[in-house]
Amino acid sequence: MTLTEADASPVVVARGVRKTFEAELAPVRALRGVDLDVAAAEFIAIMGPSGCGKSTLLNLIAGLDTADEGEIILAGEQVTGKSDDDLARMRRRHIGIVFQFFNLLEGMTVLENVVLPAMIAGTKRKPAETRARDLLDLLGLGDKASDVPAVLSGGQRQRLAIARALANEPTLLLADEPTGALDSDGGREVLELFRRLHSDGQTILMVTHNDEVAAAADRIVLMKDGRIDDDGLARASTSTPSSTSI
Amino acid sequence: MGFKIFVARAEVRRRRIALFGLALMIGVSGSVVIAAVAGARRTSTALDRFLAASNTSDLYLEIDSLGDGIEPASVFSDLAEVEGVRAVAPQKFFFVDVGSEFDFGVRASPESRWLAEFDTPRVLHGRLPRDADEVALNEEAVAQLDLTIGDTLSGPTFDNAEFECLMAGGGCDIVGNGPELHLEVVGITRLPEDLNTDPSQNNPAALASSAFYDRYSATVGGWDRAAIVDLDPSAREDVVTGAIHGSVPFDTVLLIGSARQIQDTTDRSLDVLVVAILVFAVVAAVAGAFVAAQSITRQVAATAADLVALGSLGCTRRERAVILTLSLLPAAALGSIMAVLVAVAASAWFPFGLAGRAEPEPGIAIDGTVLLTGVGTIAASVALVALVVAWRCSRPTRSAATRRAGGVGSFRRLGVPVVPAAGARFAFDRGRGRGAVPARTAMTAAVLAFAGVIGSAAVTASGDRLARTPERWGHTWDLGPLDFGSLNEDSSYAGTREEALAALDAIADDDRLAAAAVLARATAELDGAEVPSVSLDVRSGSLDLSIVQGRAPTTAGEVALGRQTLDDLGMRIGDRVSAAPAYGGAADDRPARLVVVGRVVFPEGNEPGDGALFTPEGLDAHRRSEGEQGLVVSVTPGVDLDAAVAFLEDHGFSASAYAFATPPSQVSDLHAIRSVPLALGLFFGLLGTLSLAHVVLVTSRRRRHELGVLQALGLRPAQVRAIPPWQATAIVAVGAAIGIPCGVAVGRWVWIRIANGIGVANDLAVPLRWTAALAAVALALAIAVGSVSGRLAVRNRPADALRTE
Repeated sequence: MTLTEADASPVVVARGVRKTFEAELAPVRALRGVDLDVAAAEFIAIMGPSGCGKSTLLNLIAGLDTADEGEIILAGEQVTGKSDDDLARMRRRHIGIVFQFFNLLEGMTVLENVVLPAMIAGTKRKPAETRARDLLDLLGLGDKASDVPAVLSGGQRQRLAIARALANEPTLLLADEPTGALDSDGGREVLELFRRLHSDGQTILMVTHNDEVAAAADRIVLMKDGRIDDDGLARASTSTPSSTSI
Repeated sequence: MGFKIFVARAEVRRRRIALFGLALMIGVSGSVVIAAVAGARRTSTALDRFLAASNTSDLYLEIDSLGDGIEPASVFSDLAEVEGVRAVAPQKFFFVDVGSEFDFGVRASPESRWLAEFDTPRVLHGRLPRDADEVALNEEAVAQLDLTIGDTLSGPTFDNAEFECLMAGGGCDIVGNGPELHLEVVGITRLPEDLNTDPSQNNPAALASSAFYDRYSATVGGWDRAAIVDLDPSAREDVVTGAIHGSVPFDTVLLIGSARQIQDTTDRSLDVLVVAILVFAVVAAVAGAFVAAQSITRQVAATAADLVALGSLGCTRRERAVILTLSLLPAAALGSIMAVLVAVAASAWFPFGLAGRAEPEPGIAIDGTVLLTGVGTIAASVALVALVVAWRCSRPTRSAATRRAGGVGSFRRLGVPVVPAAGARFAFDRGRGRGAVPARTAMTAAVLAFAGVIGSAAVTASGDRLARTPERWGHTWDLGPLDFGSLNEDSSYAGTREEALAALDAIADDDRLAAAAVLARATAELDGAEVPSVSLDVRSGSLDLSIVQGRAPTTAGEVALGRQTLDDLGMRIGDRVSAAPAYGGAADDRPARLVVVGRVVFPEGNEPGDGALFTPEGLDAHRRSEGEQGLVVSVTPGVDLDAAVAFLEDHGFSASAYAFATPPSQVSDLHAIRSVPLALGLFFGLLGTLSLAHVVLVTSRRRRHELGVLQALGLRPAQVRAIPPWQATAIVAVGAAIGIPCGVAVGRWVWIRIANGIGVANDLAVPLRWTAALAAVALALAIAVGSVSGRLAVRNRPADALRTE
């Protein structure tokens, strides 16, 4: 899918976003005025060296942190300026997050981890379980439903995290280094999943420092020193992401 | 609510062992507090229930003077007709010579309902006497006569004529014309008056049946001028008392007292016990709540790592806090149940001491009100603390300020080896992220534990020392006072006063006596208030009252006061107090202004803190009553006390049983509750141990990643096993360094208030041996607890610990 074919309403609009962290020795200016648009059904990879602000940008879009300046709009709703509770409710409706180190609830089974987001969003247990089982089957974890995350391999844990992120059919799927903790096979599995989701119309914003992983995306945004160095639009209009492989 | 319970249930499944540990801590603390409160309630009602169970009679009558030709029996028999009187039980104390130095009487009444229907004693062993040759003894008699059930109480008696002659002052042949009695001991009993904590009132006694009275009243002499009156339930005591006074012949005087008044001293002793237990409960509740709150904090902190995931899934802060709180409720519920069960079992130990002797139904008792209130309070308190802590932990993490870790490096720079340095780091640095464990809470609990144990031990040691050192409660001599009459020269005793002084001066320089003095007592008026006053006229050697502050007066213009008197008069040492002139002095005598020069602890005859010490001249100048005097002596070290008594008796001074040092009831009461501070100290120790175990185990689990890193860097398993013991030792060391001085300070503060309240010497006995023993035990516990944790820490391979997540 090319940008010209994308939905006219962007899923994410970020304008002039700034974020500074107060550290013991000196303040850390993580973001220094970031502008970014993410169109519907777009698959964007954000790349850059360590400390360039990639994960910070992701956290701000997800409402897990608040920007010092600037504006973020997600699915037509203002993110900046919302209260923590409103941000949480927004995440239920619009955001699915996949973390580098999974952040699964170890005290719950595989099935329960996927059921939970739907229950948080207000879905009754039975329909939530039905959807969870469907997702697990889709992601090849159907036979692991009653296991605990601790017994899964890295790739399986990340697939579980992806299933959890998809439980509420989010507007936007955010992934922070989703293959960072995986071996090459696991990474391949996850990437293939992301391609499949994207082809089904899922909007994906992924942070990575791996060129091969980033090549799977429609557009690669390069960040450096808290700014977007290259928004990738020029390259995206000429490249064919579907032909890129790992 | 559905998903919150869903998540909380998973959390409980995952952390069930830690939650059980938390429930245990809540249960231990809660059970101690509930048991103490229920015990205090039971203690406060023990005497009343004893009186009710024994159906104690209402009035005690004593004939003060009898009209000519009137027999006591006729006075008492007429009283049965008074409206409101249900029964009158005349009492006769049949005197039996059992070969002891105290007077011993068998008490009986012609009224068969006495002992059977009212004044029914608690039968500790055996039964009540029925036949004429049977008797039941109280515990004091059993102890002093060395008799038990099945033995025979034997002894000669006086006949009635001999006894009347004795009562009239002697002057007739007393040979023991009454029959020799041989009475079988069939029971050991306890009446409410046997609980009296005033040693001078606690007499060995025996009870016999109406059959005994009928057989021996005509032939065995005894004192028969008292009666017990049992009233109708609806009768008013004051009305019946008035009617009784009106019914006796005009020339017969009856003294009538409420039987309840006899229990005043016992009541006061029980009040002391109740207050002590309640103070224990309050302190235990505060300490237990503090330690439990710390454990809850650690528990919530351990769970908080999942908050990131919950937040990313769209849980609001309130929802996260509710989930954390819900996950702790099972621990609260289990802890409450444990507290109730243990408290019910512990009720068998209550009441104890004097109240235990009064308790008519010893054993387990269920106080529903206290149990229900306790359960509700525990559950609500835990839920509230959990909610507050969960709310704080649920706040979104914003800008992550980087914090410089203390690091093993800090200790390494001091030259501390790696393993102890790592242990110290675990103790003082809370760590980060998922491995964070609150460190200050453990230190605080350790300080509290040490302070509590040492403070309790100091109070206990001070109380023990007070009980065994008579000079601290005012008794600074070995024998006395041995009475020798009035201070007034024109008193009927006047003739003996000069003789007594002459006899005293004749023996004062004897080698067997280290010191001899005349202790005079009278009442003086200071600043308008009547104050019991004493003076000490030392005839040989050196003798002083207990001066705890300042000095004794040396001139008639000086006075020293007791603690209570100082407070009552609003005086301090150095102030001046107005002393009224002696009664009967010159009309123009004015009050004198005396300087308060010291604080004194007064011997028996006074309350320890109530009184004024004058010089002999000063007391003569200001006494407002007839007064009395007695001899007090200190025996030369190495001289046998009995030999000294014999020497004094040879020279005309009689030393009764009361001439020996007998602690005042307040000191006895204090000694009777020594188990309370001991129990409090044990409780603090137990709490401290549980808290230490909890923090060490939680830390080893939460920071297993760090332990894995240390192993990866080359530490052997044995070295890693040693880190938790070093952590525990560091916590104990800080706890001891801060807690012991705090404990001594708290113990001193508490002891001063207790001692000043009684009026005795208030110097604290610092329990050095206890302190050393505590430090050694604490160190051993730290190593033991740490060793268990260390073994658990190395159970998994380093690779497992180093796996992310």
